[in-house]
Amino acid sequence: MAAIELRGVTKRYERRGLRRSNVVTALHDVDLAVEDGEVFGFLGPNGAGKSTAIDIMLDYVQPTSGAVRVLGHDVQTNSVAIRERTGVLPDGYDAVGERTGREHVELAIEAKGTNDNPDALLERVDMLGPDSYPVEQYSKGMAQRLMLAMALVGEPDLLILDEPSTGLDPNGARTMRRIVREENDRGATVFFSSHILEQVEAVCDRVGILDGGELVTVDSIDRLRETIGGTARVTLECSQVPNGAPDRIAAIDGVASVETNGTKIQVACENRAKAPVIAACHDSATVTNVSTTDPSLEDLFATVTGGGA
Amino acid sequence: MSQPGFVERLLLFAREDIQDSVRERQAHLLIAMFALVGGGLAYAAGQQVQRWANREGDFVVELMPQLLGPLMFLVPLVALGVVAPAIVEKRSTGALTVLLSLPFSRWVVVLGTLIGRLVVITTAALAAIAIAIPIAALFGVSVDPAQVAAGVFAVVLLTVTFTAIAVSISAVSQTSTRASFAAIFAYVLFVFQLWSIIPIYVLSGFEMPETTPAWGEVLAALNPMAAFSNLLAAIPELADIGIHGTAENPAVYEQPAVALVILLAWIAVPIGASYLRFRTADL
Repeated sequence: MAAIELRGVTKRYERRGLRRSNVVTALHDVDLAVEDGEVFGFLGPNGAGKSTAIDIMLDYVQPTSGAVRVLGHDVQTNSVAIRERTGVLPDGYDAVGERTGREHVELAIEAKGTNDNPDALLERVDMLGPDSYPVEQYSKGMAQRLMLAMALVGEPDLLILDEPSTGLDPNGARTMRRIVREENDRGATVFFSSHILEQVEAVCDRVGILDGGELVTVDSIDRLRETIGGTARVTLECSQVPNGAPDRIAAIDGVASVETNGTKIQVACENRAKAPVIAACHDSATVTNVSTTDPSLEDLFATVTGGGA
Repeated sequence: MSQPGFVERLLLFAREDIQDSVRERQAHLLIAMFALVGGGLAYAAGQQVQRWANREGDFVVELMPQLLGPLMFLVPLVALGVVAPAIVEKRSTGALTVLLSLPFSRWVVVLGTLIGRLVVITTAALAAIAIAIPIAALFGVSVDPAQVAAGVFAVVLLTVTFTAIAVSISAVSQTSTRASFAAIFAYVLFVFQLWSIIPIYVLSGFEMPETTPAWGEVLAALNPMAAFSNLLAAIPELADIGIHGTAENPAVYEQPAVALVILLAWIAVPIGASYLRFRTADL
């Protein structure tokens, strides 16, 4: 069964004015299925419609058209049943009244009717200590940790995390990744959005890339890498760039581009062309250093969203 | 483990709402304010008794008529002013996002806010009566139990009505500013009777007619403030309190029983309508 299923979801925001109206299409005909038990990363540049899609899954926002089912329930008619089994780290939240961190967690525990131990949850997100003062005074990163603790209440079947690593320090980001893995090992489906590729790369089974309100691609990280296999990068540092070397390298089968910068030669090529590129330089110059990188998601992202490399 | 049901979550939400106003010291302020008003009015009634005691004749000063007049202007003001931001403020700050990430339905949000705010404002309004009674007794002001009972009932009903209107405004407003304006508008509309005066003026060709047309009388009686006065008229001594002097022979729509129905409608209709709107609103 699909944990999250969007069918033909479109969302238009309309702003009616006396003299002119303004219509923005945030999502256009999005189909998406997140399978039970997977970690799904939802990627896209700012303003791609990620939060709108998540808001629709959470029934914060009504789709203009299309159907959304989460954990087998229709979002619009049965959202309470969904939220009983879902942990949410929303975007654009704020403290509920003048409650402390602990009181927020206790509220979540009571609303979900579980017997979680608030201390254990706060401990998991490293928030024991600051839990005793009002959330209004929290920094963004602290609030994110607290919201994660609230999301973990009741061992939910599904975690929906909207930009979870916003405001987190490196330790916090690591904790976040660790918790995502732990929850997934327990059997939970995890859906999270991000514009930070490393986060997604480190924990996701599959990613979906949203751009301009349309789902551009959905695939596993490895498969996506293969798709753009042509953009491995080889950097050679030589004592000096030999005459004609760039031309010779460019002539090698599988090389996409060659750039020289002082004593550096940078080559973008398919994996199979890496060795011949190095050999071509080695024959005519003293190569002092060689580094190669695999195609990064960064490149992938730029390619798919048309942002330029 | 079984999930809490609708009622448990509703009571939880209401309890948290009450705790919010206690934490923000709003409850304390409201109770202190009403207690001061109640105490002050009872003291003033006591002074009146003292002045009249030196004259000939048999004067009786009753507490409730002295108390209900000012309260009926204060209760709607406080209910609208304090409650109108309730939901919309949570919505614009993002607190509602957190609450709706938990298994609270939007119906629980509307009803829970209504119940929570009612408890606070009713407690405050009744504090006025509770403080007034001993002070009145001390200064020789007559306190008739039947009138007190009627007064308490009427004040509670008025509080529920205006809190319901305020929660409805809060549920359908997009911003706190708009909610405040809507609340002010509602106060002026009902308390200054623009509710009936403006339609009568406009439909009579932009002038006040010599005699109010029959439909105008009905419209006037539908004003919750008028319904409050008409309801109080069930107790003869309380008949002439408020904005709507009760007729000698009240028409059907001015009968206390009908007034009660009108007030109940002013609770149910706005809450129901605003929920329908809020249920499908984008946060």
